Amino acid sequence: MPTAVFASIPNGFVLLGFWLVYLLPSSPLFQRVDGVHAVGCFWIMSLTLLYFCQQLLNGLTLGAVYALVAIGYTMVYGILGMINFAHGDIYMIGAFLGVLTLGVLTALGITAPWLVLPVMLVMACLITAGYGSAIERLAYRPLRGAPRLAPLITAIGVSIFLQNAVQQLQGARVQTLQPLFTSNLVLWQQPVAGQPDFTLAIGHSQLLIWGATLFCLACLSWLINRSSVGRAQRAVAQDLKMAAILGVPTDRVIGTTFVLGSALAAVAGVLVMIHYGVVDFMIGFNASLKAFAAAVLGGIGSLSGAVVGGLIIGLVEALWAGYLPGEYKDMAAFSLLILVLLVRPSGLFGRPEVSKV
Amino acid sequence: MLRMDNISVHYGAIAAVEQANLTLAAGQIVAVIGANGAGKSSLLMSLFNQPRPVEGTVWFEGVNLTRLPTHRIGRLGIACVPEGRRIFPRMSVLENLQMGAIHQPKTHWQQDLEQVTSLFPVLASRLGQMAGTLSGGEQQMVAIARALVARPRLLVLDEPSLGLAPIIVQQIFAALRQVNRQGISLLLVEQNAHLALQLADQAYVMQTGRMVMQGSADSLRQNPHVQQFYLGMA
Ligand SMILES: Nc1ncnc2c1ncn2[C@@H]1O[C@H](COP(=O)(O)OP(=O)(O)OP(=O)(O)O)[C@@H](O)[C@H]1O
Ligand SMILES: [Mg+2]
Repeated sequence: MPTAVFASIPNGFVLLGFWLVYLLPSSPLFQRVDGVHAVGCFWIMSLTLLYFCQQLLNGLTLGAVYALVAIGYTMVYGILGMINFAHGDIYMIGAFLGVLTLGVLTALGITAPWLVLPVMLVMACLITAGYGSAIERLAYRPLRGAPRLAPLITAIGVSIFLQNAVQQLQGARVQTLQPLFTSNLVLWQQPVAGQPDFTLAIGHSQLLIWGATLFCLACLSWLINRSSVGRAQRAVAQDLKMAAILGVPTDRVIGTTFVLGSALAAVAGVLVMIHYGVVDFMIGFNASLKAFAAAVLGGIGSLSGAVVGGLIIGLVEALWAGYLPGEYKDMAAFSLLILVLLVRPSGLFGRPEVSKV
Repeated sequence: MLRMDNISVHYGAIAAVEQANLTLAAGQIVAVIGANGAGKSSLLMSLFNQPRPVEGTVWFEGVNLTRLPTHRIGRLGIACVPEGRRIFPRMSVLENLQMGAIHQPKTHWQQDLEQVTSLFPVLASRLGQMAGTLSGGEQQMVAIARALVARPRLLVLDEPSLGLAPIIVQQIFAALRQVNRQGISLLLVEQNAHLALQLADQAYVMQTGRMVMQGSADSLRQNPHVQQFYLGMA
């Protein structure tokens, strides 16, 4: 009775152990190097596996950024049922504000990363949050109650406006900047015959991205699930008119949502700028497509969906770029989105659309 | 306490309520009965400007409600148990109640929570449950409790008996009577004219958007027209 064997957990562990100890090392992922390491380490990871791990790390980095941006899409959609197409440009503006702050600080002679970084993040968050809230107030609030298409078109208009404004103010050329963090955390060094060593490493800027993303997600999760502001926000998302009848100032709650989403996008923008060291007025376009795909993949309206969707899109993109023709990596991400939507039209964590009263 | 003067509510070209008048004195229970589509719910929601009446004024304790945004009205001392309950399904019962008390100081929250859980003892054991998974009767109790923790002076209810078993309806109406004895005025919309006229002091009959009859609940119960069309008597 094989099913019974698998069903009982201890036996399952035995099988897993068998696989780990016996089958996995004999697979081509690992190669045996006899007598190299003394301390009980018979197996050294093969280059294949190291390379895979490196792509995984890159994917997680990219995914964290997408997740931060996707949250903005999903929160606004959850409350207003609209796609804020200007969100990607908010992210771009966040990155530029980071560059500006960096420039000002450098001019002032302040270059210590531990000081520069928080100032950049805070400045970008504050100003971008202002932008987000202004966009909501000027472009979307007057259209509350209008047919759904109207704010959508306005959103695209705002997006074009922001792109052109930044292009005029900052120039159309790609700006490169000095990397703030150049050092790496080496996880594994693998000698390769006749070539330089292959190193599996995490850049400090990658660690920063993960740390900042986790911190933001933890704060957001506390805010949404535990605080009274978050409770009002969820209530407005579930039934806006009823929330208003209970005395919730719904416009203010919606404004808060834009502020939060914009601040997270600014964090993502600054982090990307630090990690990749390049920024131009078009970065919002690509990131917004990916983050939007992430939000839809995870189930738009769902916060955990946005995070998971972001990670998946980031991983798919990085792995594809690592193994297959890199020009097609965007296609891979979007094909995956289409496949998932064919099976689960409301996304991984989404609820089937219920028409609201 | 409440006076609706000449209220008309339109949805685009549809006139749901036309020049309706209604008054409610402090401490009273006023019922509005009428057939499906008569405009009862529209009349109630026009108190909260959802939608705003196209003509007429609503006075609540001397304040003209028609000029106020919806969220300010809830803070004046009117609470609403709307048609279809409209509890927040993906929030716990406790969170639903906290939403009701959103503009109340935290100092009397414990006391208010105890009060509504003693009014509806089932809720006490369900505080952590997602409200959307409750039974219809329990959801109705949550909706009423959510309105009560706002400490209203006027409680507005739209068909609280809808879709509930008679025993639960009895329980809910007993609770409403008790609420009224504590000095809260009730404005009650009901399909179930029997129940409504039993509970109410004053009653109004609505028909295709207009108030066609009004009077004490007793007098309406004796009225042959009401008996024939709303009480189902031969
Ligand atoms: N949101 C809306 N949009 C368009 N028409 C509406 C809307 N709500 C109500 N109506 C119309 O207004 C009229 C009155 O509706 P209302 O819901 O007030 O009636 P009611 O007396 O509460 O009926 P019921 O007893 O069935 O609840 C109906 O003809 C209805 O079709
Ligand atoms: Mg109705």
